[in-house]
Amino acid sequence: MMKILVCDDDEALVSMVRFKLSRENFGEVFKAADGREAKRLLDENTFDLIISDIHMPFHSGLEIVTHVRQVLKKNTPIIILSAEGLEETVLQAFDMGANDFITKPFSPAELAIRVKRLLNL
Amino acid sequence: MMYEQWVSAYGITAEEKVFIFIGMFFFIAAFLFITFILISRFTKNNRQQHEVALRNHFQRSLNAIIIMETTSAVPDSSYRFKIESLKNVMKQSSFARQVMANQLVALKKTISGSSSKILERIYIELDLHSYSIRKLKRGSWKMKAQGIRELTELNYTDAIHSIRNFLTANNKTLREETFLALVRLDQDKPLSFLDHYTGELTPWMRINIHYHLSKSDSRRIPDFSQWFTSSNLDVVLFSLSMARQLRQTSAVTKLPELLSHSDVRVVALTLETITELEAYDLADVVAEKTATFWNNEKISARLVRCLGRISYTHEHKQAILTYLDHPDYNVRFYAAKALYTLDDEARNMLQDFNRGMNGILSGIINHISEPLLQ
Amino acid sequence: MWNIIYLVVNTLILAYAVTIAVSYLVLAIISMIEMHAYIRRNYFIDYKYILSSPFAPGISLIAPAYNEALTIIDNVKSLLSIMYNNYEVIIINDGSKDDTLAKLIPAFDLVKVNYDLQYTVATKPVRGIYKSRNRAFKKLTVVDKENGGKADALNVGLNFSRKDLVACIDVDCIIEPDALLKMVKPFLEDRTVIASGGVVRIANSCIIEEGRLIEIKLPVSLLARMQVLEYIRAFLLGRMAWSKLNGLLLISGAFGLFKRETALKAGGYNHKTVGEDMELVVRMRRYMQDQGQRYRVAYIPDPLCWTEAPSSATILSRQRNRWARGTFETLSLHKKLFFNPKYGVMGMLSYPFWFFYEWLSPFVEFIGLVFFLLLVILGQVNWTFFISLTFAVYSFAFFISMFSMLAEETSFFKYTAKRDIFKMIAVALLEPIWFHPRVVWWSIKGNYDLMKGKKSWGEMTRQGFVQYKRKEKVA
Repeated sequence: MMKILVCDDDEALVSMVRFKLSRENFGEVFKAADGREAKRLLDENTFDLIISDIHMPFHSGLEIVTHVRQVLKKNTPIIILSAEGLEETVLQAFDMGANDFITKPFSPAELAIRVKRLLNL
Repeated sequence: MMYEQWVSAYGITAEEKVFIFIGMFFFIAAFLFITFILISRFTKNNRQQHEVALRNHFQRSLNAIIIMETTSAVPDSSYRFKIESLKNVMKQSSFARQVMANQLVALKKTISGSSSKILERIYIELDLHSYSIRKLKRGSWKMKAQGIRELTELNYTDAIHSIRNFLTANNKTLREETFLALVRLDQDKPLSFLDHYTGELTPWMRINIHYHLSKSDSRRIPDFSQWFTSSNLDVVLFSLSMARQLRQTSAVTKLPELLSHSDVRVVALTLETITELEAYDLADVVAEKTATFWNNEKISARLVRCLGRISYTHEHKQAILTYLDHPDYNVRFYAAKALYTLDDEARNMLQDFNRGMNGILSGIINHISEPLLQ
Repeated sequence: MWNIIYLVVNTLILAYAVTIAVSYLVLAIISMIEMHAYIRRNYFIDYKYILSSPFAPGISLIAPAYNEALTIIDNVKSLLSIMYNNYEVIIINDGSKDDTLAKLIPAFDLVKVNYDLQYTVATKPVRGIYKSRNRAFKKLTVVDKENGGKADALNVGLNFSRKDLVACIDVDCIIEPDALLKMVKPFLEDRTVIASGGVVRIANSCIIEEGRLIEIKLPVSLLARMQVLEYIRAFLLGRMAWSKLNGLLLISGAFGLFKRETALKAGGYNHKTVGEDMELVVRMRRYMQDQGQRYRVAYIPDPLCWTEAPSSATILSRQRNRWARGTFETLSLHKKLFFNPKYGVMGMLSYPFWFFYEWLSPFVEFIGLVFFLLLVILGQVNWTFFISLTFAVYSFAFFISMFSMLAEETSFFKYTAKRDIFKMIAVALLEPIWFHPRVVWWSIKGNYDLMKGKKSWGEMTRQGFVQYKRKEKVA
C-alpha cells in the first residue's frame, strides 16, 4: 500500500485530491494543512509521494522540498502544486529537487496521471 | 413629572440639564450599540455554523460528481440523483444557493480541464446562473458585481450582453469587474474595449488582466502592438507591458518610434520591452539614443541595461562604456554590470577602464562578480 | 475677580471639550463609512493575483534588530514566509550588544559578501553585509552596522534597497502572511500613493508559535486590555478618517510601506527624534507638497500587524513618555505647517488637530484637574454642575469606545468569544478613571523630560537604547 502526503491549506482542494487519488486506488492519502504539520508527518513516516502547495503557514513548499532532500536525505517524489507559476519559482522548485510542478487551476485527471507516472504504477 | 420634581428638588440649572441630557443620550446610544453587537454576534455565529455544515455537505457531493464523471462510465442515474438532491437543498434558502455559488467559484479557481467543465454544467443545472443574472438587476453595485463575478468565473458566456452594459457604470469597482468579465468571456476580441477606452488603467487592472490572459487559451491573446498608438497614455503603457510580458516579438518593429515618445514612462517601458524581447535588431537604434537621454538617470539606467542585453558590435559596447562616468551611481552600476555580463571583450573593456581610472569602479565590480548577489 | 477667572477658565475648558468631542464624533463617523466602503470594495478581491503576477512591485522589508537574540531566528523565519513574490528581507543588526548576529549566521548559513553599499543618506558605518548560501533563504540579507538607533538602522535599509517600495517594520512584530498583498494594493490602484499604513493590534496572550499567530485572544493583563481598546479606537476610528481626508500624519513604526524614492528624496528617517515614524510621513508629505506634486497617504484597516504591548506600568510609562516627546519634536520641527494654507489639509486640519487635541490635551486635562482641586480647597465647587459635567464627559468617552467596538464587530471581528464583549465593556467603563489619567500624566512627564533633557544632554546621546522597545517584557 502506497502512502501519499498532500499538503495544502485549501480544504476543498485537499478533499478533492484525496477523493481522486483514493478513487484511483493509488494508496492511502494523508493530509497536512500547514508546513509544520507536513514536516512532523514527514519526520515520523515514510511516504511514497508528496504533493505540496508553495505558500503555506509555517514552512513553504520549497522548504519542505529542501527538508526532504537535505535533512531527511530521501528521494521521495515531490509534486509542487501552486497557484503561482512564475518562471523563477518553477526553476527554483526544480533546482531544489522537486520532481514535478503543476500550476493551479489544475486538472485532477492530469494530476492523477502524473502521480501514476512518479509512482511507477 | 417625576423628572421635573427631581430637577427642582436638586436645584438643577439649565446648563446642567443640558449636560445630563447629553450624558443620558450617549449612554443610551452606547447601550444600543452593545445590543446591536450582541445580536450581530449571535446571528453571525449561527450563520457561520450553518454555512460550514452546508459547505461540507456540498463539497462531498461535488467531489463525488466530479471524480465519477471523469473517471469511468458511471450510470447517468447516479449523477441525476446527486443533482436532484442538491437541488432540493438549494430550494430551501437563498443562503444555501449563495453558499453553493461561492463553493463552485472557489473550486473553479483551483480546478481546470474536464472537471472544470463539469462545474460549469452543475452551475447551470442547479439553475444558479439565473440566480446570478437576477443579481445584475439589483440596485446595489456590490450585488451587480457579485453577479458578474459568478457568471464570469463559471464561464456563462450567454450573459455577456447583459454584462457589457456596465462598461459605463459610475462605480469604479463595478466597471473594473465588467472589464475583467469581458476579458474572460469574450471569445473573439477579449480586449476590444481598449479601442475607445479613455479612462484610467491602473497597475491593479494590469495585474488582473494579465492573470486572466495568462490562464486562458493563447489563441485568444491579441497582438498588443495595435494599441501602441492609442491616444490614451494608460492604454499605451498597458499594451507595452503586456507585449513585454507575453514576449510578443511581433511588436519589435513598432518599438523604435516609441523611443521618441513625449512621455518618459513610455520610453522607459519601451527600453524594458526591447531588453525583454532581446531585440538585437534594435541595438543600433538604442545606441544612437545615448546622447538624447544622458541627463535622465532613470532612462539612462534602463538604456544601459538594454544595451547590456542586445549589443553585438564594438560600437555598442563603446556606447555602454561612456556611461561608466555618468554622474548617477545607478547608471554607472548598471553600465558596469552590462559590460561585465556581455562577453569577454566587454569585460576587458570594463577592467581597462577601471585600471585607467585608478580602480574607481572596483567596489561595483566586486559587487557584480559576487555569486551570492546574483 | 475670582468669578471672572472662574468663568474664563470654565468657558475655555468647556469650549475645548465640546470641540474635541465634535471632532472625534465626526472622525468616527467618517471612519465608519470609509471602512465599510473599503470592505465592500475589497470583497471580491483575489489578492493571490498579485502574488503570481510579474507586475507586482518589488518590496524590501526592512527590520532593524537591537538585542533580539532570544527571538530573532523565529522572527526572521516568519518574515521569510510572507506571501509575496518580489520581496526581500533586510535585517539590520544595529550594533547589538548580545549575540543577535552570532545566532543568525549559523541558522541561515550566512557569509559576508562584497556589496557596494552607497551612503545616500548618511548613517553610521556598516561593518558587513551577509547573504545565505542556502537558496531557500535567497530573499534574506543581514546588514551588520555600528549602533546608531532605529532611524539610523532604517536609513541603512533605505540605502541598501534597490526595490520600488520599502516596508519598515519592527522585527518582533507578527506580520500576517497576506499583509504585503493588502498593503501594496493602494499603490497599484493609485500611482500617486507615496505611503500606506496598517493597523497595529495587540498580541499579548495571543497564541504565537514559531513567529506566527495561531489564535487571537484578549489579553489577560488589564493594562494590556486597556491598550486593546485604545488601539481599536485609534486605528479604526481615527486614522481611517484621516486617510479619507488625505491628512494622515502617522504611519505606525511597527508596519508601514513607503515609496523608496520619495522617502530618500525627502531625506530618509530623522535620527534626531524619537518619533521618527511620524516625522518621516510629515516630511514626505511636505516634500511632495513643496514639489507641487499630487500624492496620497493610504491606510489599510485590516489587522495585519500584531505587537506585544507593555503590560507593566513602568514600561508603558516609558513608551508613552517617548511618544509624547516624539509628537512634540515632530510638531516643533514642522511648525511651519501650522495653519499654513500652502500645505492643504495637512496644514489646515491635521497639524492643528495634532497640536490641539493630541499634544495639548494632556495639559488641558491636567490644568482642568488642578483648577478643580483648587476649587475644592477653596470650597467653591458647584457639585451638581461638576457631577453633571463629569457624567456627560464620561458617557461620551464610553460611547466612543462602544462605537469603536461596533466598528470592530461589523468589520474584522477578531475577538470572537462572547464573554470578550462583556470584558471589553468593563474595560471601557474603567478606562477613563483608571487608565486615562495615567496616560495623561506620562505624556506631561515626557514633555517635561524633553525640556529638561535638551539642556542637560545633547540630542545624539539619547538614541540607541531608548528607541527600541525594552526587552523586559519577554521575561
